[in-house]
Amino acid sequence: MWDLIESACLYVGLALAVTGALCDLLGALGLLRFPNFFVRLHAATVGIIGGAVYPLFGLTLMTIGCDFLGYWRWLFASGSFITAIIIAITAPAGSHALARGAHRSGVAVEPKLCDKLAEDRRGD
Amino acid sequence: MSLKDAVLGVAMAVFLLMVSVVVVLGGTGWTPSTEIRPLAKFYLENCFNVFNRTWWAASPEAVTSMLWDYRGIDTYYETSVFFLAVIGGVTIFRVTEAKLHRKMDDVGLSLIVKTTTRMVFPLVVIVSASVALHGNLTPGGGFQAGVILAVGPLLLIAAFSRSFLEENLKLSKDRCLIIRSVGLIAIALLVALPLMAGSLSLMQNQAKPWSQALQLPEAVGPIWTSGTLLFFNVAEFLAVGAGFTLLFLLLSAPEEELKRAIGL
Repeated sequence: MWDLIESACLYVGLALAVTGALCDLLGALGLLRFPNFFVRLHAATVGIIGGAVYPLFGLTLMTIGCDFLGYWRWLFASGSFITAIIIAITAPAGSHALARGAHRSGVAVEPKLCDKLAEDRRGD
Repeated sequence: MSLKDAVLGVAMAVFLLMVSVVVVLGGTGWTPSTEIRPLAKFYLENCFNVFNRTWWAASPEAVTSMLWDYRGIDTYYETSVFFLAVIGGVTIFRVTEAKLHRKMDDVGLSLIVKTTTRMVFPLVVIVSASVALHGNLTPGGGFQAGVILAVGPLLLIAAFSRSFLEENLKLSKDRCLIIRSVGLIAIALLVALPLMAGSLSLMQNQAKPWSQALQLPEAVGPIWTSGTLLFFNVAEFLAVGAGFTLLFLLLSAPEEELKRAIGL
């Protein structure tokens, strides 16, 4: 039974790592090809959350699945788990602060469908 | 694709080729050998040699034992250099706290960033404390821990404001100066301790064959303190953390405020 759980952990972890690599690739492409600062920032956060948090959760599962690491796998697993959670907390706050600062200092949202924030500010 | 792009591409390819040729031919300088040199062998063999305690530092961390034991005077001078740098900063911004104190219209960053900073700040402090207190057992030490500690106030200054740090945390310029001075005085006392107890050498950590005068225990109960190393690390932690916080406080003072206080 434990063998089954170990291999399940290993393969789910590997799948998460591959997802992370894909997210990194897509994020890099978006960073190059997207038209303005705000959507480029969106691509960059795809690279952070998809490309760093998912693989770290995957690493947690993978190390749990590697019984040849012995007792030490719990150390690796908890380390990568905590790192993933801290990145997941701090990265959105950082990108939010960047986007807010850019919008307040007048970076053009172009091309755009709508800009509710600017409409709100004009309404004040 | 214009001519400019083509020229740029070819130039980058040629540059990469030239750099790789230089690296392959050994143009980046002398490559360190894989053998351990005699000096390194000495430290590795002696820093935690429980069977022959003549030269030991009572610490499994060779780097910390070098920094605060074998080459302790060097670190002491480094600390003095940092002390002088902070004193220089304080001298340039020589404004009393009362003159700088004006209620500013502090809004800080948005609620999202503030909440995240509230969550991250305790983590920063805990990590820095663990790096300092474990500095004699695992990689890390006083200076690194102090720098990590100073990240916390820096985050608070960025997300909230300077006056949040001064009023809500009561971490004013003068208080930072006091904490830093306490750390530095503790280091100076620890350096002079063997001298006062009758030994002939400064910064003696463990007893040597020719001077047995004073020896702090290598462990207190189950806690491994490595003689003076733990205390040096904690004192340096306080001194560096408070020193950097002081510098950040001074640097984040608004320019108009400073000009007004100096009288420009």
